[in-house]
Amino acid sequence: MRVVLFVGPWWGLEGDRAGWAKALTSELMAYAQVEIGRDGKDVLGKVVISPALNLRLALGARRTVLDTRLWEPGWLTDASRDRRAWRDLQLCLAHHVLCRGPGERDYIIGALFALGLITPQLYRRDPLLASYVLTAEEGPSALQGSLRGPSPWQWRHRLPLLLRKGALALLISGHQR
Amino acid sequence: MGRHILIISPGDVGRYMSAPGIRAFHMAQVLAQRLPQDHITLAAPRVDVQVPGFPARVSALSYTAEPLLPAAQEADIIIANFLPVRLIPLVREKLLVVDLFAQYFAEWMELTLHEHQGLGRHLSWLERRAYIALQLALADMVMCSNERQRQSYIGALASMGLRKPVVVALHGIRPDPPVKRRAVLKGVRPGIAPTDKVLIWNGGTTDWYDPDSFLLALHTIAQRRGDVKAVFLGATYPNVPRLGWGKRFRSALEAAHQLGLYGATVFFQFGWVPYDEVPDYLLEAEAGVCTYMYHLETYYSLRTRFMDLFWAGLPIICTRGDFLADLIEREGLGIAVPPGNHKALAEAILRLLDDDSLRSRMRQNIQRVRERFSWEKTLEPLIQFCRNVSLPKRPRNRRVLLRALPWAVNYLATRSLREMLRGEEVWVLHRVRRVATRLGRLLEGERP
Repeated sequence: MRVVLFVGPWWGLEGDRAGWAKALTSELMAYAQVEIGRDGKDVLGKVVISPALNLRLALGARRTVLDTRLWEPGWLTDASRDRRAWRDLQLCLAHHVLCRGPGERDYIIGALFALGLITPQLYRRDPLLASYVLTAEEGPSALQGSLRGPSPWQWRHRLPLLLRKGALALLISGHQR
Repeated sequence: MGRHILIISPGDVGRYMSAPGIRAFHMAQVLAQRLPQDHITLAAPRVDVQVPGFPARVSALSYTAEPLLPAAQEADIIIANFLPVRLIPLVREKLLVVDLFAQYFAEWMELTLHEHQGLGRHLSWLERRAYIALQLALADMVMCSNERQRQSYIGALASMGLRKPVVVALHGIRPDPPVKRRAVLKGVRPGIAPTDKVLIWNGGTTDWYDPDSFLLALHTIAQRRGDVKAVFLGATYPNVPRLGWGKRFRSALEAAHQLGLYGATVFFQFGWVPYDEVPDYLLEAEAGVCTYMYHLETYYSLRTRFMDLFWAGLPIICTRGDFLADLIEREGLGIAVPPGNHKALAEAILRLLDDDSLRSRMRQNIQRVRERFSWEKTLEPLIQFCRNVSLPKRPRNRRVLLRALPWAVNYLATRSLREMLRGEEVWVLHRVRRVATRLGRLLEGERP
């Protein structure tokens, strides 16, 4: 079992979101070594982890689980260009996506289809996307099962999109600076 | 002055109709009734105005015989399941409602997996995905048929940087009560006795259905008793011959032969049953059955065939997983069984057929629930849109087209590549040649 990294700045979170993150992390600790991004500066106080760190971790053959429950309310549906660029990039880099419930899962699946992240190869292996997009209702045990199975996607299928989305996100961020 | 509303159906409207044609037909009926000031045109590959219930106020256009462009140019609002690519430039001046009554990403992914292999599969998927995204990018309003689909389309739109109204307009049920005009099965069809219990599989058998579980269940039942019969109504979809007569249907036929059920327990109605003759079959049946695989297509689907079963008051035995199966279980309209479990299916069939009081309770529940499914109620969001929306006074900003441009390019490029790969005529080149020929004729002084 490889190291699992939960993407999310939960040490900057409060209330429910911090609770979810802690509960899930401690559950996962029971069966796998959970490593938190070492470069604290990259993530502290941000809604999303920095793409550079994210990419480094993903290239390091680690599975990333994107927990959209940790995002600020409204962040998921924000259609502004900069938010969308970062959100798309996060989705591109995540091996698994964990969301609040069935409604949010439907929303994310629609987004993944439009982004081109659901390929015939991926769909053929997992026609319900059960190991790719999970809901919190299913609990950590469902996630554990998914993490034990093969990775939902392969780099070669995702690389062109990742380069495009990454370049776009960096351009927008550069422009804003 | 009334506005012009054009409904474009990809399926025929007439005696032989599948879901897209049925939807467009009832849409025209309801809009003609509720928007008496407006001019409604119904365009389909073939439209037969003789079909019972065709509204006199609605103009018909068969676009395999007549050009669609003039009608589209005249329209103020276009309602299309999918807007033909050649009409895209018109959306600057028109309002477009895209009626995506399935989660087409999931449905077309299933089709892609079953129809193609290797690079062709990948290209076909890219083409289909771009085509759906193009429709979403062009639409002023998106219609879908359940809340699951709605959420997924909102998600897809958000990832494209778009915010548009997405409304649920469920597939409705026919307005007139079902009337049986003649006996077609019991005591008429060789092999089906007047005392037999009949199960109906109404509709085609595309790749995502699971007739094998049904056949295995029938085999189990046939070993115990001989009075349970099943009829598959319809094989080849009207004007989409490749849909329906596929791998799954052929394997069902083969399985029926191998299990010794063909012609004794299981009967196939090849072709498609006319829309007005469907009640003759439904009203002779004890229950409707439909089983399917459990995947994303099923999860998002709305099995439109169930609406005819609700209309006829038939209890339904189906597979769990989709929106209507949840409703069937919740409201006691039939029995939903786990996917691929033929033993559970056989038990459900026997339970339903042997328990008259259960069947009667289910019929009462259906009576109660089906009130919600009248076309007038389900199409209310569309009626409100057509009634209240302001039409663009002048051609809209180019941004309307610009936001669709990447998807249009993506679609045309992947389509051309796929066509080249299969050695087919490239559609884009064909159009360019056609335009060039016309221009040439015009320059030579001939009439186009």
